[in-house]
This record gives sequence, C-alpha cells and structure tokens, in this order.
Amino acid sequence: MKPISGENHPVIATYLTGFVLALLLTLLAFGLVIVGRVCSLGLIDKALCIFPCGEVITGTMPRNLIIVGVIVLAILQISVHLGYFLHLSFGSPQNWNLQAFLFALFIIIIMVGGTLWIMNDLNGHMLPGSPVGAAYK
Amino acid sequence: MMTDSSTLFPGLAQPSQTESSPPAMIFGFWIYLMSDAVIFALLFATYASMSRNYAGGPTGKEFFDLSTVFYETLALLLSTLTCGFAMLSSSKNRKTWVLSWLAVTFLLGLTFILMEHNEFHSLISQGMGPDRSGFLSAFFTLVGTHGLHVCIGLIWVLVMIAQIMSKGLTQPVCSRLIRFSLFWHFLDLVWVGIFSMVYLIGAL
Repeated sequence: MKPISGENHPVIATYLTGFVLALLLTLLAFGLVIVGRVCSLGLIDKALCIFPCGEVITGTMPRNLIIVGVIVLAILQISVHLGYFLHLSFGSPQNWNLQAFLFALFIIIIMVGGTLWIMNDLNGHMLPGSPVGAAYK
Repeated sequence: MMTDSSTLFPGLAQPSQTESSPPAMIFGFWIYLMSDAVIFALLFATYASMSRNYAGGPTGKEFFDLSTVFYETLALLLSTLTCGFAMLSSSKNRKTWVLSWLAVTFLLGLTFILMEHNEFHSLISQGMGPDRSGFLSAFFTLVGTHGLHVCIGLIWVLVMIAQIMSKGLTQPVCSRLIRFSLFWHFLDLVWVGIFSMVYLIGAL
C-alpha cells in the first residue's frame, strides 16, 4: 500500500509550486471578472471604480464566456490543491485515497447534476407571470 | 483473518495491527473529508438552484465586495502554505519551527474569519440576513458552513500547539498534525469553489 497522504514526504518545492500555481490561477480568475466588468462599461476611465460595484454587463456573450472561464480556472485550481497540497496522486492503482476520492466524485456528479437538472426543469414549468418564474426569464 | 483482509483490502487491514497505525487513521480521516466534500457539493447545488431567488431583495452584484474576497482568498492560500511548512518542519523534527508555522497559520486563518465575520455582520445589520431571500439563505448556509469549518480548524491548531508544547513531536501528535493539515488544505480547496462560484460569478 503506497497511497496515504503525508506518507510520501513532500519537499518544500512541492508546496511552493502548488502555492505559485494556485496564486496565478486565483489572479487569473479575479482578473477575468474585473476585465469583464470593465468591458461591460465600455469606458476605460471608469476602470478604476470597478471594485466598489460596477455597472450591468451589457452583452450576454462575454458574460457567458467569463463564467465558463471562471469555472475552468476553478477546476484547474482545485486540481492543483489536490495534487500539491493534499498529495493525491493518480500514479499507483493500489491508491485507496484516490479510489475514495473517485467514489465521492461519482456521488457528487450524480447528486449535484440531478439537483440542477430537476430544479431547472421545475423552474421551466413555472407560470410565466409568477414571480419565481419571472426571475428566470 | 489478518491475511485475508490484508490481501483483499490492504488499506483496511491496518487498524487490526496496532490501534494507532497512522496510515489507516489518515485514510479514515480522508473518508471523512470525502463525505464533507459531498455535503459542500450539495450546499453548492442548493446555492446554484436558489442563486436568483432574490424575492425583491439585494442581488450579489449589489453587495459582493471583490477586494475583500481577494484578501480573504490570499489569507487562506497563505495559511495553507504555512501549514505545509509546519508539516515539513515536523518531518524534520524541528519543534520550534513547527510551532511558529502553526502560529502563523492560526493568525492567517483568524484574519480570514474576522473578515468574513465583518462581511456577515454588515449584511445582517443592513437587513440583508439569511431571512431576507432564498438567495441570501443559500449564501449564508454555504459560506457560513465553510466559516464554521475554519473556526473548528482554528480550535484544532490551538490544540495542536498545546499538545506539541506539552508532549513534543511524538508519533501520535505527528499523526494528528497530518490529519489537521489535510483538513486545512481541504478547507482552502472548498474556498476555491466558493470564491469562484459564489463571489466571482455572482459579481458579474
């Protein structure tokens, strides 16, 4: 049995690499959202007053792209945390930590995916005039 | 009995050898973390389902302060690094360094919790508490559950500091330290999901 976290004696470089990668991905994600808000304003001189609370995003296309970007960056950063900090490795097949993780992931995908699917479907069936349904239009 | 179980399930056979076998205890803690991950995943799903049920109340875009969230993220990320340094020092048996890094970890975690407390306090005092709308209920439940975990982590660091000072870096203490570090790294991992899914996407 090879698997257990903390047993394979990570070196300082492991943590530092993980930290730098995580920091870069965090900065990219925040940067992406700030750039998105600047673009939505369309005015460079308003770029400085973005943090306090910007204006509404105008186009739907950049907003969706930014959301996808943020989700991809989050998945990447979670992988970095799993690999460099929690020392989860995909190396040996006798890895019990990995098997428990994959099982949890399987459960999460079924339950989260199922929840989102059913709740969105129910919202789709709401009457158009009702306040809850209107919020989704 | 030993041979059967150890060949079939080498990970599970460990506890029967000695009560305090660290690998098996760490694996057991890992199972707990995975079940915690399922809880957080479902809180995320609840939040996603309710994230637009404003009931005429405030939207995330109106009150999310990205600069605060960025500093919270930075504090937690740095604390995960210092926690890693404490682990490295413990494997080299450097007691003073372990204590110092754990103290830094505690202070950074405390910074995070105080910032989150300020955010929650100002929201509730402005009448934007969890009772205001479905969105705010889901927001407070998800972010508050993570905050509660960090509080428990802070208590755990203090207990570890006290144990290292009184007992030294004995094998059981180091085993607990490994589990604490897993817990702490896991909390930072959950926070990545929160700042991305809740704050960044909510601020758009």
